[in-house]
Amino acid sequence: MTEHSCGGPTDGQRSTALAGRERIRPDRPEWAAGEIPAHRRPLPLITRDALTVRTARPTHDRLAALNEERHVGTWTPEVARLREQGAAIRRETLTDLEKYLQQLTGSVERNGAVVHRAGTPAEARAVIARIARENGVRLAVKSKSMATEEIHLNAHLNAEGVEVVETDLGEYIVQLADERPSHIVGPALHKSRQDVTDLFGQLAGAELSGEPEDLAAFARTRLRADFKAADLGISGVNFAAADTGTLAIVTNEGNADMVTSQPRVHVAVMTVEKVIPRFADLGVLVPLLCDAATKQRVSVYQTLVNGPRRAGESDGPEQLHLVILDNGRTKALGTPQEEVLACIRCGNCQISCPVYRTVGGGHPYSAVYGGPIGAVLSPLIGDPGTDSDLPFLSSLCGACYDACPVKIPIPDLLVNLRAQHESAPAAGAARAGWRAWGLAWRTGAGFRATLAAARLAGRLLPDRLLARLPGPGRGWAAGRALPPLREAGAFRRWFRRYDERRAATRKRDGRQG
Amino acid sequence: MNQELAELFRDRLAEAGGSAELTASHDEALSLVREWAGDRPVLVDDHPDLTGLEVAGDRPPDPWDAEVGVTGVLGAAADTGTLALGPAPGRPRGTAVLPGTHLAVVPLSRLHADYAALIMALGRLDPLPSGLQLVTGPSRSGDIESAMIQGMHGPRAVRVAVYPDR
Ligand code: SF4
Repeated sequence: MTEHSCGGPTDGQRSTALAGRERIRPDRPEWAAGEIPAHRRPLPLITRDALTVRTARPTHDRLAALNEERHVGTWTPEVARLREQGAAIRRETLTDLEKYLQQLTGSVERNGAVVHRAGTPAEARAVIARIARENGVRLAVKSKSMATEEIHLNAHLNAEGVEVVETDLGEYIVQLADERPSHIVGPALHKSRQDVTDLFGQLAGAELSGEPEDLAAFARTRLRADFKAADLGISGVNFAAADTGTLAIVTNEGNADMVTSQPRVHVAVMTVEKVIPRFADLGVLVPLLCDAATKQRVSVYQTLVNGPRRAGESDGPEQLHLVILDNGRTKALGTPQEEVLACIRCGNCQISCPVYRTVGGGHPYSAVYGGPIGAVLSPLIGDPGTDSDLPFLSSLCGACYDACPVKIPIPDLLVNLRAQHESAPAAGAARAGWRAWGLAWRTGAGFRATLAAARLAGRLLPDRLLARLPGPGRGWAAGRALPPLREAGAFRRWFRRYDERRAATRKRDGRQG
Repeated sequence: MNQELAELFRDRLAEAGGSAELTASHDEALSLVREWAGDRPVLVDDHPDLTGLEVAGDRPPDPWDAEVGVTGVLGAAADTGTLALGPAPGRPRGTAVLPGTHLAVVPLSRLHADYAALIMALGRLDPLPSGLQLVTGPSRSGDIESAMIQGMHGPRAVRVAVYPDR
């Protein structure tokens, strides 16, 4: 085909893994996009569409199979013990989160790293962009991190002229497809083998074998070139030990080992609740996380970072930065919702959730985090009011609680958030309307008056009124129609006539008898 | 007791896709490693447990070109089959992740019963090394329809020689 078809970076591009990206023909619904549209359509419409997309059914089936195979929601006696210990450890820090964050900061600084506290995504992005600029970074490799999804880091760094390459295989797949992760541990769970074959084939500009081994080899070769060439490694943090300043990153692929050891600068991004009291707690939390996330005793790699490279060492970053992001989380402290901060991001609640499975994974939630954890976490982070309707995407069946390794009472939190949503000002108008309706229909005269008003409105308003609604209302109105208002009260009129006829008949029969 | 732990380590590492041989002596462990490495381009860590190891392969000028990496360990966990490595001068992080094969020697005195005990032991190191790599079997991915792919970014093969040291 073209001279690029063998792969390899073209002019102005340094990434090998992303070479040929322009050949990819995006094939995804708008609500799966990497960047969530600012004014998204109402959830009921998105979820209705989600049920009809090609990937919904196979994704449901894959998730349901995982739920079965892993016996999600049941625990062996050993892990049940870890679960009790882990649940307690995760709540220790919540009693005085700031104290633990201070302790962590001190330890990490003693280890020779720089700590940056960021209240908002904008602050976090600015810090990382500055580090990239100061170090002349052109190419960054990243190991899986939901915190960086939350701050939309890739788009921001791209705008600064830095290419960012996702190196977790699932993340690489969704990055190429211009999508968001649909599951917090398995970002590409919604993709079939054929989807990946097509995607990589478009990237390569050539037909590829659809064997998972071959597809992985294709990705490995390209990503390896970027591990070697990158100036900056970006990672998340699964646990940060306050006592030693250790940043623990859990992977199966080994990409975190690459990202934290080969580039000359490493930026680790964590959200405030990732802090744990002690290094020794890793002995409980790592096996617990791995059992819940992938049913492994432990994952293949735990990468523990205790600082930049030391004198005499030949690899490891020369600079280590830790960005600690709040993004609204500390608001929850001291409220019942603080429980959500115990989460260790295993993704088990997502797999256990019948709603999440049915809508084909996390995309229709239209937030960075989908599923049960997303429905309780997303309303907390970001702008107030955003995603406050997510808690309604639940049947409250309780499977997520059974599945949670740290025993977060997700159903209770969902109910609290629903109540908050209903008492918000936006819900006030609706409530006033219901109240007025209730008052009006308390008397016969009021009831008859509303019917007359409806008939009048039916005569005056155009038939296709709903289709003419402006702005976001149009989305809601699509596929809906007003009832024929001029027929309001038709049943009563029919019944009155029926009653009169029956009375007349009875009178006649009575005379005869 | 030590023998039982060693057998548990071997079985659990095998479950994770790696393999371990229980040898009778340090010398036997080293000669196994030499055999496993063959004459492929190799990185050998500067580690006291590897003193006396002679491998046939050369050290490539660029570590990315190595096919085999040989390391010692700070410790290991029997119930998970986990190895713990720490960087130091002469012991780069890359040895265990850049090449396609990772070979390691584990003395029984550093084999802990379980993962939590290994973590406790590592936490007592003073000073802690600048990093710790905990490795349980070969690199893998389940990101394509949950099919198990061995050897994603890190090694495709992890082989360990365990030996008694007291
Ligand atoms: S809420 Fe519980 S089950 Fe869900 S991701 Fe967090 S830790 Fe896992």
